[in-house]
Parts: sequence; C-alpha cells; structure tokens
Amino acid sequence: MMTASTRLMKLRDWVRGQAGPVDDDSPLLESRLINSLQLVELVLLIEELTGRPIRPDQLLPASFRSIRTIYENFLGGQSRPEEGA
Amino acid sequence: MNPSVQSQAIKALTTVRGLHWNDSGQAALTGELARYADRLDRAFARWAASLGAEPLLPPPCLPPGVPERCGYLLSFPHHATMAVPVADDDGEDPVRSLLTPAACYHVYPTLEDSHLNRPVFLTLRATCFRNEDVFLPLERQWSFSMREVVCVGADEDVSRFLETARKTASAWCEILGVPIRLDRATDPFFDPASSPGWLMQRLLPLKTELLSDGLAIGSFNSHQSFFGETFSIRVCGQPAWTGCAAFGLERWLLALIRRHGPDACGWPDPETLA
Repeated sequence: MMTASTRLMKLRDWVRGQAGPVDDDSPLLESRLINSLQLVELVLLIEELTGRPIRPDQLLPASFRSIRTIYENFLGGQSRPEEGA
Repeated sequence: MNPSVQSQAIKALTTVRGLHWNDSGQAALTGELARYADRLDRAFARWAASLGAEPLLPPPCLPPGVPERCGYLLSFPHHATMAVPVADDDGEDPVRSLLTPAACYHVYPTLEDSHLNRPVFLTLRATCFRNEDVFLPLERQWSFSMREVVCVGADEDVSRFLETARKTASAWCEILGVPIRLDRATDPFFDPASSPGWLMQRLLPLKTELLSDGLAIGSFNSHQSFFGETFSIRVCGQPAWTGCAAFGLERWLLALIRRHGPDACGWPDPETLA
C-alpha cells in the first residue's frame, strides 16, 4: 500500500507539473494556479491516490487550499510535511 | 411556480400601503414606503462614502459592447432585456443596448486603461432589469433598484473590503431586527453534473449571499482580476482585482414587511444604520 509520504510526493509532482514551482502552502485556487478543468483532475488524482471517492460533504474550500491542506485532509498526513521531501 | 401560489403571494402584499404592483414585473412605491426605501438607500450610500467611495450616476443601458466584454450575454442570455426604438429611419440599427442587468457593470468601463496606485471605491444606485419566468412583488421583479459599492484594488484590498461589507451589512440587519445568515453561493447556471465551473465555485467561493428567510437581500462578490484584465485596469503594475457589495432595495423592504408588518411607519429607523 502507498505510504502517506509517497502520496504527498505524487501530489506535489502533479501540482508542479500543472502550475510550476509552488510550495506546500501556495494557495492553489485563490492564486489561480489551478483552473477549473485542472481542479476536476486534481479531485480524480486524490481519489486515485487514496483508493476511495471524495464525498460531496468533503468538498470544502479549506481542505483544497494548498498541497499541505490536501495532504492533511485526504492523503493521511498527520504532521507538517517537510518541503522538498 | 404554481399560478395559484403566485397569485396568493401577490394578494398577500396588497395590504402594503404605498406598493403599486404591475404584473409586468414592476412596482411603483409611494408615501412612507417610498420615503423609507430612499432613507435606507441613503444609509447604504453614507457607509460607502465613509469608505471614500465616489458617486457614479449611471445611464439606463450598458454602453454597446460592454455586455459582450463582461461575458453577460454568454452567461445569462435568458435574463437580458434589450432597449429597442419602436421605429427608426432605416430599420437597420442592430439591437445593441442592454438595459442594466447589475449596477457594477457601469463601473469598469469608466476606469478603462487606468493605472491606479491605491484602491478606488465607487458607489451607485441603478434600476436593474432581469427577465424571469415568474414575477413577484418586491421579491422577483423585472426591474428593481440595486445599490452597489465597488472596490477596485489589489487582491488584499478587495478581500478586506468584502469582509468589512459582510460585517457591516450583518450589523445593519441586527439593528433593523431582520434575522439573516451569510451563505456562500454557487451559481445555479452551472450544472454540477456536467460543469467543472460548479466544482470551482464550491471550493473557491467568490460569492456570499445575505439571506433573510431564504431571500437574498444582498451579495458580496469577488471577481478576482476578471474586470481588471478585461478593461486594462492596473493597480501598482498588476491587473486590478474587483469586488462588489450589492443590496436589492425592494428585497430589503420585503424582509422588513415580513418582520415588522406592512406599515413602514412602524419600522426601525434606517438613519441609525450609518
């Protein structure tokens, strides 16, 4: 099974592939680093990494704010991830 | 809406003194109701002035070309009402004048190609037109009055303005004895099943509504840099962000009627708001 840190690495790779060099706290939607089409792909990626669907009540702005909030809310992140890991 | 429900809703408001409803979706106000609406609007305008807002007196129609640039006719063609002369000399003039659908569209063309070094605030009251399937007095009218306050600045200026506006309007409602709640809104125009726009609006709420008994009496909207980019408005070298606070005057009257009864003489004094 994929570890939380592997999931984080895959998330970072995907986001940086879409938006360029961003850090874990960059606001992805507010800063328009991710557009509406990419957002759909992001949701699908999270579902793929966790192996379970995201429920409608989990679609909260605070959870999708940054790489860090996605990691903490969906990918099993328990603590603050180290930048550049 | 069921026609009998509609007629009951209209009948319920016939006891409101000073409300003259026409089934075309328009209402005339007279007497104390008209005076109250004006005093309420002046309270909104005083708050705008306290922020440094400059007044703007808009024409009835948006300048030709502006609705297209704003994306209005693409997003909301079903709400549009065009102004058309009954007859002209050659009959070949294209129909290009859109009756104002929302007040703030008048603001951005006045700032086109400007370079600002600080946030700018403008305020205006406009008669707005929205075509609907069903019209109800004070609630859903073809033409209605909207007071807006618009902030043009950097993203943090707009965020700060919208937060202040939400708090101020909530405080007004408490003074007026109108219970409200703030709720983020998604545009019903987006179909959740097929539109990625719905997901973005849900996760990046750009619109908050001020709801009284389910009735949206105001809204607070961030347009991010859309109008700044469309009209080449720059702040400190960057495309300006814009945001607006909008208040539908007739709906405030309806919220007051529901809480305090049909006679505006007995309603809380709007002079105490700001």
